[in-house]
Amino acid sequence: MSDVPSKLGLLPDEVAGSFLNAGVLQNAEPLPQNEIERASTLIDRDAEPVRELFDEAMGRFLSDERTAADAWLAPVLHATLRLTRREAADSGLWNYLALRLAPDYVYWRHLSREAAPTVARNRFVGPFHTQAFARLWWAAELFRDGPDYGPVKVACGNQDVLNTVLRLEVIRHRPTAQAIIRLLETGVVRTGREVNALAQAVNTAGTTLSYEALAPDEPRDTDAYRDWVEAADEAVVPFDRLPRGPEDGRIPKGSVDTLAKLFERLFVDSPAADATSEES
Amino acid sequence: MRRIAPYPVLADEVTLTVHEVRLDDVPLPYESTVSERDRRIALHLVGKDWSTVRLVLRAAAPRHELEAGPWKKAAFVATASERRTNVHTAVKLDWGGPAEWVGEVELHRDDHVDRVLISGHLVATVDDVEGRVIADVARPWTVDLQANSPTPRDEIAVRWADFAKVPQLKRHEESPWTVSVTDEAPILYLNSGFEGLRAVLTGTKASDRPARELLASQIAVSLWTTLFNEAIRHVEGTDWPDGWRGMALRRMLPDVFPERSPDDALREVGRGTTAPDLPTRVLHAAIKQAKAPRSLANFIRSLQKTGSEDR
Amino acid sequence: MTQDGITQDPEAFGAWLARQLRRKGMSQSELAAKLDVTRAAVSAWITGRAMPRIEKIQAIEEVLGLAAGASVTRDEAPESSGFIRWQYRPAHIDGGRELGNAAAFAFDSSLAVTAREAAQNSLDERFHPDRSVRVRFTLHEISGERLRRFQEAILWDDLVPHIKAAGDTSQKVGRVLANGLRELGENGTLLLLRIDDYNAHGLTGPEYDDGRFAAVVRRQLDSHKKGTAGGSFGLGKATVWGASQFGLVIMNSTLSEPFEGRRERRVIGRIDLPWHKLDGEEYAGPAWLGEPDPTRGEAAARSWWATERTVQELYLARESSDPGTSFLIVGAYDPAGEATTLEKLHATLVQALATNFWASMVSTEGTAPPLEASVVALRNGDVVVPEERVNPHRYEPARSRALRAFLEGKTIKREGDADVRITNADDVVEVAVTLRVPRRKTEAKGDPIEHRAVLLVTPTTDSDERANHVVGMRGTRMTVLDRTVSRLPFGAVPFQAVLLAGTATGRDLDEDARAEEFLRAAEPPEHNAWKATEDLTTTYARGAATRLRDFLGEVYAEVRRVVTPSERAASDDGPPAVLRELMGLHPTPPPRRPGYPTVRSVTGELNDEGAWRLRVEIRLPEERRDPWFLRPILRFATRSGPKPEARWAKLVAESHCEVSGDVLICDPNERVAVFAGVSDVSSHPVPAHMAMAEVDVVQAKDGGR
Repeated sequence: MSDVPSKLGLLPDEVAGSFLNAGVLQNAEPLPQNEIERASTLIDRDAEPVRELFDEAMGRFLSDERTAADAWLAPVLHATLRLTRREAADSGLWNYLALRLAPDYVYWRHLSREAAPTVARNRFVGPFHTQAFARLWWAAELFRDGPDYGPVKVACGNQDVLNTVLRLEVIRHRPTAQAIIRLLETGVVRTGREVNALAQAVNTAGTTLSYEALAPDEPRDTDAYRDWVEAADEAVVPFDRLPRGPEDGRIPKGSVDTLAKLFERLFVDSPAADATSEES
Repeated sequence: MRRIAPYPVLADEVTLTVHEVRLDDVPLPYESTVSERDRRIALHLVGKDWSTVRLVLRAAAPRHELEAGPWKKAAFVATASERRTNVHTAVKLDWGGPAEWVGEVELHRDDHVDRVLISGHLVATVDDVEGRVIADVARPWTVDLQANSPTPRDEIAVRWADFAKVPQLKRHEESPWTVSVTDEAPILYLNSGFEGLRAVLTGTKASDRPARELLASQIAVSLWTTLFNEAIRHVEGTDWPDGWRGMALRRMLPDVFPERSPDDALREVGRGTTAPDLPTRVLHAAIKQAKAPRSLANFIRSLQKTGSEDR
Repeated sequence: MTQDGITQDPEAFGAWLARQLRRKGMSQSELAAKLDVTRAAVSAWITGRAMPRIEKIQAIEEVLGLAAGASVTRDEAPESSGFIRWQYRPAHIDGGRELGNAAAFAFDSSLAVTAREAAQNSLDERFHPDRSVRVRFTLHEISGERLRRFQEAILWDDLVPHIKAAGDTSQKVGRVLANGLRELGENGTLLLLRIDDYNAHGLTGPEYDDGRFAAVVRRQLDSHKKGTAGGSFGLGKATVWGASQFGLVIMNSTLSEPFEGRRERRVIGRIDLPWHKLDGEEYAGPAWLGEPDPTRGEAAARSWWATERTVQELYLARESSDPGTSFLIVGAYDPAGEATTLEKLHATLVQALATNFWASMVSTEGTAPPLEASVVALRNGDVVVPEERVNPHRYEPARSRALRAFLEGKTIKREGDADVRITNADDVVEVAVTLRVPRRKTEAKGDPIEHRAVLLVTPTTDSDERANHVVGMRGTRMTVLDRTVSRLPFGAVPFQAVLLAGTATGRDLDEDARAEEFLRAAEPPEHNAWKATEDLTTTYARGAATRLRDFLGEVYAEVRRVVTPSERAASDDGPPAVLRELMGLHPTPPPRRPGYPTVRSVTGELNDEGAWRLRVEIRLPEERRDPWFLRPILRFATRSGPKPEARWAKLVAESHCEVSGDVLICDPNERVAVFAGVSDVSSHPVPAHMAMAEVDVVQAKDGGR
């Protein structure tokens, strides 16, 4: 790969998309780095600390245990690339990471293992729950409990959480997300199928039950979060243990307990879930 | 499609109104910021940088029905959501009178980009089950943070570009237009380097109008055909795809399969439809979207008008 | 003439004396004898070498039968003494016959052409260069008493037999003559068209020898004009006679240079008849109304100095003493046959003047235009169409505006390499186009000379029917070139373009004069194009035709460049309005009466096993032949994303339908079908009491599982 950029940038969707031809997706053709750089608007954030993470990830995990890299990378990415939600909503940033800063990581993590290996297009340019880097950052943001990234690790340990649960609107209500993870932690749900069944149950029952009313959340302290974002330059993010996230308030434990109990009952009572657990 | 609930729900709707909008504790002028008719709050009109907005809300349920029914401990939960930033805040409003609730919802600038949906639902205990949703807000509110979204949600973006000079478009430099699709939005690119295209499309001469409209509808036919074919690739099972794809399909499927309900039509394509005439159907639906029959008829008529003079 | 004239102007006296002798039919010798002087003395008086003494002058007056003091005032003998008459040219001795004025048929004749040629000639004849040439066209229809008096004044009775005789042929001219006579007899009206010019030279020069008078009055194809005038080989004159049904024109001239010591009211008439035979005599055709000139034999007649009364009677009284000529076309008509009424004739003349001379009529502040023209129509002395001064801005607004801007120096010029464009409705853009004039064949070899012609482009209104034309002209400011510009870019603003070439550019450069000559040579007789005429190819070196073509091609190319709408810089333009309405993604409301079956009502409750027992009503659209094959779908709502489907444990038809497997077959003639269903609990994703159920119907192609 050519030079490492010194700053991060924003690369608009349609521009980014135009570079992704079949050859590029199969890693048979290089991405034209200079052109991509020219098409990007640079922002005032250093690229080096972020780049370092991907090198570290690829060093820590062997290629055949790459899915495990998600659980390691998500928290450190979130702690290093500190963004407000507004900034994170700009797909241009994620496009830049994938096409300019670290396309090698995208190939490493997402190149399929079949006869003609290829990377799905939406890993480079895609929705937040699918794009290679956005999914990690958002998983960290949506599954952390205040400064505690522990739940994030649990969530990322199960690919179906990332693939299915992450895109459910209902998990934006934090206690709901935490309750699902609790069931993972406690082993109530284990396999991918079980996770999907749980997700479906939670999603469906949510039309008749107001999780928001049953399990109220405390508003996040956006000022504290802002302070944390602005302290990015001074922060030192450890690699060997879980980093510490923003101190913007913990999710009320009672709410999580209530929902965890409810979800467990839903899952167990779920006729379809019974069927899958029999099948598995 | 009709719904049925496993417990009694309200027949009539809950009304949500915005009383006041406070920007960092200062109330904003109501008339210019809040549109009751459109259910919109125009925050983009606020000049200065703000960090917190408080919306004072009032929810009203049909009182008689509520009191007469089997619902106990009814309360209103107000929600503020934005899909793009994955925000979903919920606040239980306070009792403000019989079948009325009032309260405040806070929005933080850091958490939002474009549009925030202000809605909510009425919650009550029914048959000893707590937290039952017994009514939704029929007409939710929208807070607009941007006047012109870079990619307007309700419209396909149209952009002029000199294809020869834009690296990503250079391979199409001979074409007058092209379509680019991403998950966020489809974009129609018009080639400003194509001689005369701009002059035709942006011209204002009345006598050129038939030709102008014909060209526009030709562009639109090819555009809608392309978008449809792209969108159906993202249909999984019976789900409407997110974002623009779902919207495009919702517009076109009734014309592609007029004999089916939209959901039914979606299944048909999701299944990898067996309809052998699908391309033809798509073409005609695109022609309809582009209003091509009308613009072509006008064009032909205009030719007939000028053909007789020979100076 | 001053009272003293007699002592100061022997030449004038001599000329006067000669006229009196002529009228009297008295020779110089006879006068000498009567006065008791030598013939040489009389000769000396007549040639202006000497003047008689006072006593002799009185005697001369007596002898000639003139009133006392007549030599001072130089009053002419009254015309009623009969010395003015028609003189007919006898037929050619060699038997040749002209059966019509050859010149008159050289090109399509019409009143518009007459107006054009007459005004062009007047322009060419400008006297004071700093003042306009004023041209006035007067249409006068006379009848009754007026007609009779006029006929007397022109000795009509004398003419008629000749006209009749000449009209008696099967040639075109004869038919026109016969027609004219017949119409006159039937209608009793005669149309006179008078064309005056002021500040022109007038018909100066001797009666027969080279000079303006002779060229106009006597000669057929003599253009007399030197160099680069606009009139066409003298053919223009022919159109004046061609505008008379009788070929009859009377002329009155005020001279810029005296002739025979006099200037005003030099009058002569001419009628162009074809060969004819009358009373056994053969006549060649033309005849002149004037004073017989015995020195030239019977055939000749001379102009005479008419009295004011005479010119009045001839409808030829001029308005001012500015020099110039008045032509009276007797029996005027439009040879093209288009204009017939006075109003139409008036309009034709105005239009012809405007179309051809707008450029000469454009003035600037402080400078008079080369030409002023007006037209008026009368009937028996009453104004029928008021005098209209032809206003170039009214008839050629865009072109006149362009020319005026050029003359006033208010055009927009190209700067450096930048493209110059039209931005406002009044803008006049000026662009230089180069014509490379080749050397004449008679000159030494050398490079072509570069002439920079001026191209003016200005927008015109949408309603301008002749928009997008280029008109080209040279020093005469007569439109020579008039072409539509083809291959205009779409969206080009409608325009008028004026090309000023040759000396029309107004500079005093040698290159301009050469270009002027070159273009003059490139004009055919009709003056309506610049092309490879014989004159051009014989006069100029090889390649002349190519240079001309290149020049014109460049003119059109420049016009295209100027009117091309500029492509604005890209980006930040919104979508074109015409596209926007086709780009909507917002949902369209579903039809109230859809063309497919829909679920109209769902009622039911959960049974003890936790299954739904539902009663479903389906609305069926209009009648059709084939039954509906519908699959009922049971789903559960979700907060987001896909809605899981459940299976039916049991389906029972209630009305207007049948159950076949998991498909309902509904009666196509009915509007409503009802079925009952029980859900399969094992297919529920969550217990039914925890979810919202939805029922829908889709069409099933197959007949059921």
